[in-house]
Amino acid sequence: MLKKPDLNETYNNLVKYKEQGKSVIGIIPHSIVPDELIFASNSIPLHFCLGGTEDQMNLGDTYVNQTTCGFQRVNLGIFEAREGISYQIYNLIDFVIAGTYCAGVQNTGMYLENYFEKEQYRLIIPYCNNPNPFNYFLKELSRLKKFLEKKNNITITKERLKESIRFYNILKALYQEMDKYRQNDHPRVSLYEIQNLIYHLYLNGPDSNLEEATKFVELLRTEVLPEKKGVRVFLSGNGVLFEDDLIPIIENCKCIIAGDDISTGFEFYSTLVQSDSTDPLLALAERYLRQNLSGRMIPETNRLEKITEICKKRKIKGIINNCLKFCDSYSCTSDIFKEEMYKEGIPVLNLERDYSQSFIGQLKTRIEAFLEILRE
Amino acid sequence: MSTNPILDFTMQSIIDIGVRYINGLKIAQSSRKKGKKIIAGFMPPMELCFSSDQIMPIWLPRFTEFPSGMIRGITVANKLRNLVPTIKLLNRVQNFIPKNPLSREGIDFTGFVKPFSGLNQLTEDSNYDRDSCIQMRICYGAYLKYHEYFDLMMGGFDANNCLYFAKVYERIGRKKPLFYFQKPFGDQNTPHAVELVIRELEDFFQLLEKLTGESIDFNKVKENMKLVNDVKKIAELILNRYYKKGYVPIHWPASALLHGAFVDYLSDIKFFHEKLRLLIAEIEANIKKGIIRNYKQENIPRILFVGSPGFDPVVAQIIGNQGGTLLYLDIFPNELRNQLIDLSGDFILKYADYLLGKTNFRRGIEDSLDFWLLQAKLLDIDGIVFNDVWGCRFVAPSFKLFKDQVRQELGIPVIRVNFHEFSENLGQMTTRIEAFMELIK
Repeated sequence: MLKKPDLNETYNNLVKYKEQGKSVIGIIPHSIVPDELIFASNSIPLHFCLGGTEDQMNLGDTYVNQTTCGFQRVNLGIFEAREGISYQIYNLIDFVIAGTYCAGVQNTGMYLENYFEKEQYRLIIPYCNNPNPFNYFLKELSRLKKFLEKKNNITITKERLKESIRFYNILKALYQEMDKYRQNDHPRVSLYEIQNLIYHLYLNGPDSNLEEATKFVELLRTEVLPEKKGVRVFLSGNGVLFEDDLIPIIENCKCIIAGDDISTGFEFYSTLVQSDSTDPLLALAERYLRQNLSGRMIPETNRLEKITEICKKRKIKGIINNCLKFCDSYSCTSDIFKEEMYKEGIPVLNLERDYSQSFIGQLKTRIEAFLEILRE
Repeated sequence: MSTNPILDFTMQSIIDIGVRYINGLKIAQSSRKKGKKIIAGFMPPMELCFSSDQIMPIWLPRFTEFPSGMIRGITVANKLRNLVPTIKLLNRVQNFIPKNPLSREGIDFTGFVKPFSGLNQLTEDSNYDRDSCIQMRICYGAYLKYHEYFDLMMGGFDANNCLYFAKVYERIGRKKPLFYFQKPFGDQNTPHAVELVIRELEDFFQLLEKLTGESIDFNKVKENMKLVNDVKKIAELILNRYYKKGYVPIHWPASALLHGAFVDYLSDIKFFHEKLRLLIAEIEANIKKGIIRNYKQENIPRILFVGSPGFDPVVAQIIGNQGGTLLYLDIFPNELRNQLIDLSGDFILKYADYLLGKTNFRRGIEDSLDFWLLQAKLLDIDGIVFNDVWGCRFVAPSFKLFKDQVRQELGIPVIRVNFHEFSENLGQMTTRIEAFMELIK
């Protein structure tokens, strides 16, 4: 069983990286900011994925109101606490990438800048990916590249960026291999384990994660790990935070999460970036604006088609849609999602929630009831 | 009671604007019969739709059906020019006018919000996300009920600031043709933002040509945009320069009406332009006659209303009851009011410049906070009400920063009022605003 990364170790790793002259760049928007570009600028891309408790969420209310999603409230709550290992890690961040992913990301960036001295870079991300906004996004990536070059006093040459893409592709390929082991009829790896490895990546950067991922894949290749049994479900929607127990709760209900599209899971490794492109920025724009699985895009066609394809291929019986209350990407269109999947013959459980204890209590009951229907 | 909103409705221009506003559905039906294409929208700018005579733009809430007897009565009485004299008479004999329990004087304008509540209910009945803002619920209700009456939905623009808003367009786009206009943060000095907006404009005009079967005549477009510019100048005069001098020429009911009318210019730019010119003349005359009071000279507290769009009218009434008056700034029209469209040279280039001009967001909601702070300073106001509309993701969460900035820079009281449904939590709201007004007085 692959456990969650040790946060004290993460803290020490980041301090070491900083001593080596690397920047730590916080990423609030999920699925759209290319880690490859950040990494090529001699920086560690640190994804906001820590926390996930009611206390942190309530502390975040000092800044934003309760109609901001739990994820952003937790982010601000971790800073407002001004203590604890999560805060210490986030406090190592040199600046954050925020921008127009959604209003929550904008507001978090605004408060981190105004109250916690974390400079923000606003990446303007279009909602659509037809040619006009695509060309715009490509130039936004170029603007981000220039910003990173200036901040880190480095030139990101084409070759350097390609090298970073190739490195990430190797890493992603390892995750894809891991993923194959959970597509089997009786998988030998769980989403919980894959996600723990992804937390490690999102908090420590790709260098040390490559070692961890390689070790784990080696283990899967060589040793016969116990098979997992149960109803096969797909987990969709919001990424899951470090202290949120959603995934073990689901997996302990005698089911297998045989597929997912979450930012702390499959989304990271779903598609490789074209590494032989003559224009690596173009390849990144193509991957992150056109092939992301985020629910924020308009229309969501790519995501829905991909989910349907995975569900059919992996013999999925039903989808658990993790919707954080007030999350614009998932909660406001959860009824459409359910309708569309129903047309494909796949039942959906829309799990609208936040990190309150009261929701946690209900989670198990709702999931068990849904699984019971799927088993019939 | 420091204000009497009914006086605003003794101006013929306001009545004409109101009558056209409530006849939106009828006007759309008749335009359709004449072969026009109807383009619906949620927010400005809808002026691009005046690029063809074959297009009629309409702001979704203007489809709202007020009781037919009321519409007919008001429309006929106004045609006969009997409505304004009747209101003047009623205003003199105030006892005949139904009163809001919260108001010591004045007409119960809350009756006019009932049809909007009906649209809100439609949205809720359709299992639409309950955690959306009231503006969205009303617009979506109007879409559900009246989607057969329009040909194209024009979306995007400032919805690009708020993903929630943008996702509503996705929902609508599943059933109706949609043009989603991408307008990014930035300004005219951001070349790729300019390029994107130009491409979007080109695509939009192509779509209009396809829809109408006619080529766009840009000279004609510019003629209409001259009127649009004039309307913007007049709007600024009404809601800014008079405020600076201490006058509040129109109060919340008429102000809300005008703000709504600014979105689609009541589907007829010539009509709207003419009525606004008349409105200025009437305001000037009323100032001379002393009908419009100078609140600054009379030391009546002037409270600036900022925050999320869409508000509960009772806020203005409570403030009025407490001897103050509300200065209403609406985020969307305000953005448009402060800048004119340059009509020299290539229209598309100049209009792209306009869209990315000083009213466009550079940083995000902080730009609005700066604008409100500036307005508060320029208008020398006494306190600020921040409207926190339930479900608003873009504006409402900025209250903490705004409050701290106001305290630091202006040192005047600021209060947050929450708004979810019309006339909800009246008692609590009254107590809070009364306490706030005590601080000011």
